[in-house]
Amino acid sequence: MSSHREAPEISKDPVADSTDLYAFVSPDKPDMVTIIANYIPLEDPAGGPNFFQFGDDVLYAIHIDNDGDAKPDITYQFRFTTSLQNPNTFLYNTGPISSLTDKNWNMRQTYSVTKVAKGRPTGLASGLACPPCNIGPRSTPDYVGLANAAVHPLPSGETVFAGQRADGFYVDLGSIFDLGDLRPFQNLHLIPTPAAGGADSLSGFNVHTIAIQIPKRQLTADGSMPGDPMSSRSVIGMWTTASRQKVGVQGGPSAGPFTQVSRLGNPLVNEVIIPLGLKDQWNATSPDDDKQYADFYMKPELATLLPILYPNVFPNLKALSAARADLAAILLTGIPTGIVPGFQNFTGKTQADMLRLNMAIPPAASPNSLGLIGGDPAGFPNGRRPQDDVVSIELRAVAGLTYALVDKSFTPDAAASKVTDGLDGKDQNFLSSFPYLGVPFDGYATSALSHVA
Amino acid sequence: MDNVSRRKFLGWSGAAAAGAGLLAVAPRLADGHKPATNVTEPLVAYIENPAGGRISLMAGTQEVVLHDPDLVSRLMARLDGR
Repeated sequence: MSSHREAPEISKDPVADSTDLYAFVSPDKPDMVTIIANYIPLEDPAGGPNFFQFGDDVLYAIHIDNDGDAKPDITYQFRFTTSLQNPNTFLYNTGPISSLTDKNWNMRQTYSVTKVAKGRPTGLASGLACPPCNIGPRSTPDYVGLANAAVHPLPSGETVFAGQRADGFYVDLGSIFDLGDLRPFQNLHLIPTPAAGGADSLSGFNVHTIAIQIPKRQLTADGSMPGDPMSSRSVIGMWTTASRQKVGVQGGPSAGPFTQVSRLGNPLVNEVIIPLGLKDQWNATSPDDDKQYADFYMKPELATLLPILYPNVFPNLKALSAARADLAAILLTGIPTGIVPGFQNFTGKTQADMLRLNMAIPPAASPNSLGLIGGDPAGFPNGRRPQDDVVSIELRAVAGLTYALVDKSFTPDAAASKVTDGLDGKDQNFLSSFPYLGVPFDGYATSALSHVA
Repeated sequence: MDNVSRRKFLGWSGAAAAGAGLLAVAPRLADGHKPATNVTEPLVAYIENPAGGRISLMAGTQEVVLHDPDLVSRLMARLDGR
């Protein structure tokens, strides 16, 4: 998964487990950038009576670097508070929830937003309401209305939303974690079975989303509007973190400074690139210290496994012994000028896992879910849009498709441009406006679908 | 000691010692002593390695690290019932 349950420790702490990070120039508001950080993997929509919520004891953050040192120049912090209206019932709600202040809604969350710029914190808002979870037609009959009411424009120019959404990430986990199987090509696998279409393992599951839409001018180092795609000032790097206080006493307080327990920049990095023994450490590391992991990016284990798992399919990849400068550029520094005509998202020589966005690239009129390798520079790895097929993009990159960009003598295997888990995201219910991720699956309907005989 | 009075800290910990290496301390104690500082939140003292003589004091989001082998030794003695 992009980053769902990707490391041993964080897999036991779902409310602090970042699952996906998206960043893109807002298609309906091209002077704004939208950043979405998802948490809490694999929410079963019917998981009541204590439906999912953010952790009151977790410090959630979205970091932005705008000068290439992989240190945060701007950080948005989000803190949540849960309140119980009626402690004398076991119910999440005691009747239909018709508004965010409905007395029938028992267990609620509100949150505060703090902006830290150049080390100085400024409280932007507090007491902002989250929507309830999507329970079913009796409890949340107008879920869209509830969610829309939880979109909060802030006086400082940003717009925020925090609450449940449908998980927009799509991936065939069932096959990939079964010895690297890809159903469309499993007839070529070392242990072959007839080829089949992909199956989205996350379909029907929800996540908890923190989304913020920010004027571009507030993101550049000098406050300018990014207009030149070839200017370094147009590029920002982003990552999200969750932190817990250093010490917790069971049944008692938490105390001490907040300590990072989860991190996410580029999709699938801690999942696929970082080895098991270092995953927890990677989650606690800052991007400016990522040089220590560079070898794993430049000699990825998956590139070694593909020719073994798919015999005779990747002969050129098998013979490729050079360090993968293409992957280092895509994931650690951004793509410098001269690699892809008319495009760059280079943030400098500091090797750091950040999701990089060239804000001067306008939204695509007809987005290609394969992003840059599909000829659409408004998509991954230039930021990441919800519809971007990051599984196929990264599979193809690791398979050698992008190595030819840095070594013209290399010929990618024919399969490198075709490899996929068989999903394209076209069945996702994304929205055309903020917060873009789809209406969460409701417990009532999803249970009925998943338990039909 | 930084920020926190050692004498007061010893007093708190003596009243509330519990568990090896991890001592949760209330800011106002049964004997009516008040903390010497303006700490109003629970205070946690963490000794990762008693032989090293270092204590982390944490309250709210603050952490102060002390190097005081004598204090650690006396706290450990309390755990031993001495």
